[in-house]
Amino acid sequence: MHVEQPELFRGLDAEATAKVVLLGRRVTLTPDGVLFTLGDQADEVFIVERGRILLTIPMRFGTRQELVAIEERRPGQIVGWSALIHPHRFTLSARALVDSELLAIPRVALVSHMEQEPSVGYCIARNLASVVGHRLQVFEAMWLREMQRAVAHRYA
Amino acid sequence: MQAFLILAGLSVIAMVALAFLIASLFEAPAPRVHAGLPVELPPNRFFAADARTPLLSDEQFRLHVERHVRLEHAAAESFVYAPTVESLHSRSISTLVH
Repeated sequence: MHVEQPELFRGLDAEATAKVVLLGRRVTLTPDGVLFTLGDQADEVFIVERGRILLTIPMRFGTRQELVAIEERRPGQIVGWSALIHPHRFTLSARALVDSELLAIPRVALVSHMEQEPSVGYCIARNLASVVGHRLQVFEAMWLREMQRAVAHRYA
Repeated sequence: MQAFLILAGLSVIAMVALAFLIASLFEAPAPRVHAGLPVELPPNRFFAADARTPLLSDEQFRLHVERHVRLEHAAAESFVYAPTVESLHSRSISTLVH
């Protein structure tokens, strides 16, 4: 991997990281290339090695539907962790903003490796929990802010 | 005969006056405007757009929404790193909500 210690591999040494990387395959995308679409079966988790990935969600503008950018992922960051979380369906859509390269790791191979190497499995599970937990905290705060505005509007 | 005609003319005039008086009593009251209550005026839609809702194209509005999401995301991130009630409800510069 070109990326220094991606967030999913934090705490793993170089040898353990190399073994996990070998489980995956390279995916290259040109600008606007689609990585996955909301609702798709999520069988692979991705790590951005190069470029930028845009996460979008469909919103209705009158009678039209548009994809609205929600978040951006940069080198070292994980994309598509829905592959590791039941029911294994993507809840956002992802596409490349620029020429991008990602490592795609199949869930089945990764889970099997984590079971065979419990110390590696623990490290990856902890990193995944950190990523998911952070996302939950941020979106919980965003939801609270919207709720506060709705309440303030009621009393205005 | 002359006196009879004068009497008949006067009674006709009295009957017409009475009819007008009765009609005015049963006439529907005119609408009244109460000074203390706001008067709702129809929106000015024919020749000028409402100044409060500037016309944006779908693309411009989508960009406003994306900017709002970025600002809210940044505000939420700063709350997560230093959680306080003030930072949770801090105002952003998003034009979508202010």
